[in-house]
Amino acid sequence: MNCQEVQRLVMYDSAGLDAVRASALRAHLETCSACREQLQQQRELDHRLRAVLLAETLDTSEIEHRVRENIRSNSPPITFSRTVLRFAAVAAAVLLAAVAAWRYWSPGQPVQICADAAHDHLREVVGKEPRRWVSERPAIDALADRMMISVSALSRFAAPGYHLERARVCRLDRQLFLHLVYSNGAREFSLFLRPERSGNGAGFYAANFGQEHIASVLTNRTRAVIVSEESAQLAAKLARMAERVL
Amino acid sequence: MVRLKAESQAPTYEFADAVEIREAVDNLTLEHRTVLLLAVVEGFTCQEVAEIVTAPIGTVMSRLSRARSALRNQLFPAAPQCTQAKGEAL
Repeated sequence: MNCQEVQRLVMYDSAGLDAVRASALRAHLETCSACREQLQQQRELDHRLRAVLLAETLDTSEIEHRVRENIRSNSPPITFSRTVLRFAAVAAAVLLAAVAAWRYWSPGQPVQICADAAHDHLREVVGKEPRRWVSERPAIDALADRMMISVSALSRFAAPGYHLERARVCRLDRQLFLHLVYSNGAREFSLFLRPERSGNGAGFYAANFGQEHIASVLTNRTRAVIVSEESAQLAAKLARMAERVL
Repeated sequence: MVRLKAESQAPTYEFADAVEIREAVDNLTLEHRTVLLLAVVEGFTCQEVAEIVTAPIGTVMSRLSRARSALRNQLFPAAPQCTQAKGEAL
């Protein structure tokens, strides 16, 4: 094995080497400091990439961008005068204050969970960002079973024309949820489920985050969050169904 | 900022800034970014990535290699490369 071959392995995937080539690679690295250093740098960069990208926190810039684009495309061009700008600033301040009051004076409202759910749906379902999904039904059932979620209830969330397509475990507000995606071929909605031992069966609310319609319900045993781009009615209907079947 | 090791002037990515890394990844083409994220962040092998993106494994390896090179060039444009084109065959 020579340096060129080692460089190629370093850039590709040295994990899948057979025993003979792995041994040749080790032997070369023992004698070649340049390749050893390059491999070390590659590992550092990979490690850093994982650390940075897996530690990403809530980023609402994409949602904001879409909302702005939507507003721009639906509005005629406006030349802002000082008066309009002043009015907009006051309106924004009032809106921020209202949002802050709503967040802090509404105990039990799963705002952060729903914001995270909207964010996940936007990136992973609408944006198709690569994630490790489970798509075979037995594997999805096993995942639900492991998270102590009623397997028999999963099919009941398939709205007319929709089927359960894939699932993965994710974190919303630092808590583990089962993320299920239902599809009708053209549209998809997300259902996030988590067993809640302390659920008091009292929590239901709906909200919009950009174009995402969200409904959340807390039953005696489970928290369910539905994110849909189709309609607020669909999200609310599914949340009400969660109240009955979970 | 990517720092240099004092003794060797080789880059170390240990302290590479998170913003720089995100920007560098965002600057990659969609194909390169997809392969890089699947292989490095999600931990799939090249064979598995090939099945996910329905591309030949040679194409996946080539994209991964180019994505890594582009990333290194962005984070450390003057990174020294191994110049020993032909080493001792083992």
